[in-house]
Amino acid sequence: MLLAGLLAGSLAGWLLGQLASGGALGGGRIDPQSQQFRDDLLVMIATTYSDDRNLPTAWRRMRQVAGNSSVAMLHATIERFIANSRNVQDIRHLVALAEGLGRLTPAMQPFLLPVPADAGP
Amino acid sequence: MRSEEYAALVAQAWSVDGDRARARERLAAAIPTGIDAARHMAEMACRLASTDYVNDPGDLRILRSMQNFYQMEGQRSCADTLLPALDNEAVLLLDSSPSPRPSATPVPPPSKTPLPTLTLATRSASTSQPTPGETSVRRFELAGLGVFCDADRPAKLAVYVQERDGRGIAAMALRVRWQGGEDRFFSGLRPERGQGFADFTIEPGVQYVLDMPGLSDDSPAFGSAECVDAGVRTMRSWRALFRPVN
Repeated sequence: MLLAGLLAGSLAGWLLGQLASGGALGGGRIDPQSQQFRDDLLVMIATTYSDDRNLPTAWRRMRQVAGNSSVAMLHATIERFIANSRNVQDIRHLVALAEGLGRLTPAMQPFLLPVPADAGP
Repeated sequence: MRSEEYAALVAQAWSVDGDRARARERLAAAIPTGIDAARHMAEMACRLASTDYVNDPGDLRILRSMQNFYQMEGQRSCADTLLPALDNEAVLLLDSSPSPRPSATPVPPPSKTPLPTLTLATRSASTSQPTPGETSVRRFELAGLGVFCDADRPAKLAVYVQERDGRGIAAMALRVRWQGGEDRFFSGLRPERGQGFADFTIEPGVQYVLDMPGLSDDSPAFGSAECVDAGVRTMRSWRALFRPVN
């Protein structure tokens, strides 16, 4: 009984350590599969894209979040953010990403960010 | 997505939006309760710095953002020692994507930062400097060119001229050119920033090209633009590093 308890404790500690120090994301108070979490991931991906204009990296990250549904997820997220009057800066970043992917819709046009003069490719 | 990648993404987004509280919340929500967000960021940076992540200039920039994040909260990480030891603050962001050449832009007045009056004797006073004969035949290359955002130093071009082992080289001529004008300045005139250091104030909206006249090729064109440093809107600055070709 004592041995089983020690083993279970060790296993739990090891798992917690793995989550804390690397490995797959998880173990926090938010579910990595939840829409809230995926929305925020997409916002971060779009925010960084707005700065570095690194489309391959943004696309790789999007596919990690939504796989083959990446573009559909981006569109759905933008539409929902616009409809719910979410943070306008977040919407602008998301729209910039949609533009980078060549998937801009008329509803997104008002949220386009001006491109800095020295923005890289 | 792996924890390291998530932490890197959080840090990169923070470097753009400057919203520290949001970055903390993003980390805290994704890691087990009781683990400090900045400590976690430090551990993730250590993990990434131990891989070939640091060999990619873009990823090195992200790693620097992670480092800034945890250092601002008093944390330390193995990344502090694993990251390439760079002279002063010269983060090398090798830019492999040349920008467009300068186009028709307004001609600004050259606005070099006021410098103390020093003579080029600085160079001969330094035991670490090569002899004039050596440098006169050496070619230099632009080993790094990258942006940084610092509200205390907006719209600056900070140039470092270094030996390949990192020692600064004073009294090297540098030249910036823009549509309709140029200016020259020298390394080593601000020895408190290093023997190989020189700086120049750039004007927003203007594209510049930097070189060591007769000793190096032209840099890609670069210019300033708005950025956010810890929530403060300011102008981007640039760092450039020249090193001998061989």
